[in-house]
Amino acid sequence: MNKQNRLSLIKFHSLLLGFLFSTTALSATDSVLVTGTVQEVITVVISGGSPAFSITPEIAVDILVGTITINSNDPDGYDVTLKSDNTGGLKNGDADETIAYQVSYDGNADITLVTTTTNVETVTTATTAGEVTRALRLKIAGTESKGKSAEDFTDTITMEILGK
Amino acid sequence: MSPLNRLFTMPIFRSFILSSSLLVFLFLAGSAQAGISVSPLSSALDLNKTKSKIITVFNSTSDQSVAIKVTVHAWRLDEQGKDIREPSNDLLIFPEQFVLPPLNRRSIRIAYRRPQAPSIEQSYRVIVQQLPVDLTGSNQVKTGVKLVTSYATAFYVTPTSALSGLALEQASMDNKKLYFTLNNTGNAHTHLRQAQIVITQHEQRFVIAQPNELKGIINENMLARSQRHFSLVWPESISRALDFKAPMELELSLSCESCDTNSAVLRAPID
Repeated sequence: MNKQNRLSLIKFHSLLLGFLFSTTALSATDSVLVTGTVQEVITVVISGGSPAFSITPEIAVDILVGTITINSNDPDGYDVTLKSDNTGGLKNGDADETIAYQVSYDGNADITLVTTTTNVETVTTATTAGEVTRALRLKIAGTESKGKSAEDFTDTITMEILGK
Repeated sequence: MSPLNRLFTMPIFRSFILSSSLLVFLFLAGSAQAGISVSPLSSALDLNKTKSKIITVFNSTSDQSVAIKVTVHAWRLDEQGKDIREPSNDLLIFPEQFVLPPLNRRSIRIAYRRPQAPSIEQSYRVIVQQLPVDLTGSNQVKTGVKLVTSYATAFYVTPTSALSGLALEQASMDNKKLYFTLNNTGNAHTHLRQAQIVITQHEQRFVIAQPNELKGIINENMLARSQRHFSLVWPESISRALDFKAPMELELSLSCESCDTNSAVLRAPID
């Protein structure tokens, strides 16, 4: 190899080393700040249970009408309320007969729902994280169905989640 | 015939497969009444930054469409913290009603009808309600209840200079409970975050800081220009140690999201 070729080879290697060092130096000092914001979200799923059921006259009913799963990451928590369109009664098609019922939320004492909201749970930040599951049971005393017409009796229960 | 084939032809195995399939079907059939996500549960519209806010609704049910209705109510809290709502036209909402197919999401845009920010924060409930209608077309009435969900989201239209100002108005007690009244004289709401109560008596300090002991106080909302009464059942250990006939002082410390300082310490003698 002549002197000129050796010089060219040295120049080439110097350039290559310089390039590698410069890219190494750049990658050592460059950074990208990646940020992401987790949005507050609340999910309520009502599953399982038997919201539609049969009533045998004079026989008491005690039935799981739904399992409520609430998932929230809201740091302020939330309230849960229940209300009934028919003031805690199942009504027939003509709305001239009523079968009164009570509900139990999460195993708590039986309550009669009204058309305005009844608070059944207050969740604060300490218990907000993750998922909670609550059972909603419906109970009808045997005397309530005595002498009622053989037809369908219905009501709408609204579960309201209140943000703070 | 291989041992596997012999197993499949056994009547008991076929019965097992059939009954298992039926159980799975019944489980799946009964397991999807409704599922809705709403995000966020609390929004603040600052007219200096944006003209509208978005609330997103997601139908997480895999096999049912849901009918949704959105309404607005002016919102305040009474002294016991119960919602007081009145219908309002202050907010413009789009869309107000829609059908959400399975596994679909929809954005609801909310704007303030007035051009300028209010001088005192305005608070509203934007209510996202599932309507009790059957969209499967069967319209078959059955004895029972229809369970529907409703989300009362908090919506604030903030003033240009939002500042809350908490004051402990009065405190009293009996041998079961501590009672006190808080006033927010500021023009913005605040939550009672990281609340802690200290009772001072005979130079002794009794700290109440556990979330279960502070239920009904911690994270509660103090809307702008509002007053609320709070009560707290004495924790047993503190109840035993206190002399209910001797003077004592209440100290309430909390973090404050819209105060001029990040935290507030409020004091009042207990009558």
